[in-house]
Amino acid sequence: MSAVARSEQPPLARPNGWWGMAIFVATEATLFGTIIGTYFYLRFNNLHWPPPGVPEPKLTLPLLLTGILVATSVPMQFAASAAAKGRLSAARAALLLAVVVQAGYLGMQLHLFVHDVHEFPPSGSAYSSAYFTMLGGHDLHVGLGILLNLWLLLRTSTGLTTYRMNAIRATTFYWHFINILALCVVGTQISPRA
Amino acid sequence: MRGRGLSIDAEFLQWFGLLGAALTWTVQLVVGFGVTLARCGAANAVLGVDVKAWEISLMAVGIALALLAEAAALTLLWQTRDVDYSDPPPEGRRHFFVVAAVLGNLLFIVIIVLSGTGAIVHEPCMPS
Repeated sequence: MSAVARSEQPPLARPNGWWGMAIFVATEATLFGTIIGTYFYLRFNNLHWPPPGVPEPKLTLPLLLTGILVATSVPMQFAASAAAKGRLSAARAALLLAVVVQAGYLGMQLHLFVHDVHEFPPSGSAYSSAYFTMLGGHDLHVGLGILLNLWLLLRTSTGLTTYRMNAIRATTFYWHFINILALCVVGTQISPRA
Repeated sequence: MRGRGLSIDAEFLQWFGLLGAALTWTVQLVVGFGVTLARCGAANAVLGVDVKAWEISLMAVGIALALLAEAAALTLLWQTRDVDYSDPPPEGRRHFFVVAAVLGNLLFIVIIVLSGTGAIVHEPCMPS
């Protein structure tokens, strides 16, 4: 197809499900923008960050886990592309792979979260309050994404429809956002080590 | 051409209805934060920033703009009353957006009022 003919095609309209997800992502971005903004506001108003008695954040494990989570954008995008081409089995396999990795990430994150809560409780300081709000919020969003993927796996077990294809597309969009958010969260988390 | 003109108006109403109140709250929050910082800074001895006057003004303008966004959304909701959200775009998408906007703008009006009230009641320049 020539460039001229290609440019004459009307732009492909996105489904309302995608737009609904875009609005949802905008509200979530606002939420995390204020949480991260609060963290740095408090950070710049305190001489010691983290405060005395609170250990410095770990570096290797959070970065490694975040790298693994961000990598799930690949199978998610593959699932959306495969679904668009009607390749249901490939789409479901990619979704399954993604959800297994994401569940592993969440399990490890929750383990670290509980460990940190015992070490420096959220009520102990402004630092710990901001730290646990940010990480807890992110973990909740990862959990929601896993539930969405499980729901997609369940729904697509009986076949692929336009509605379900749009749902995979919207959920993939959500996961790309969550993975970008994970980079912002881990960057904030390890910022005292910089 | 008339049809095209009407379409552009509907596009404007759609985006202003959907994003107007949200952007208004963002401006209120960011400008209010800046005003408080200016009030608490060393230059306030020269500037003489009145936080309450600023916050009341921001809240009043914010409420007015958010109400305008709500009016835009309600206008378009009325114009698309015979359209279902599952209808083809742009009408279906427009109806879907304005339903979200009508509900969302009410929330933003409450947020603008609470945010402004909190900033007026709160004593600035206190240690966090």
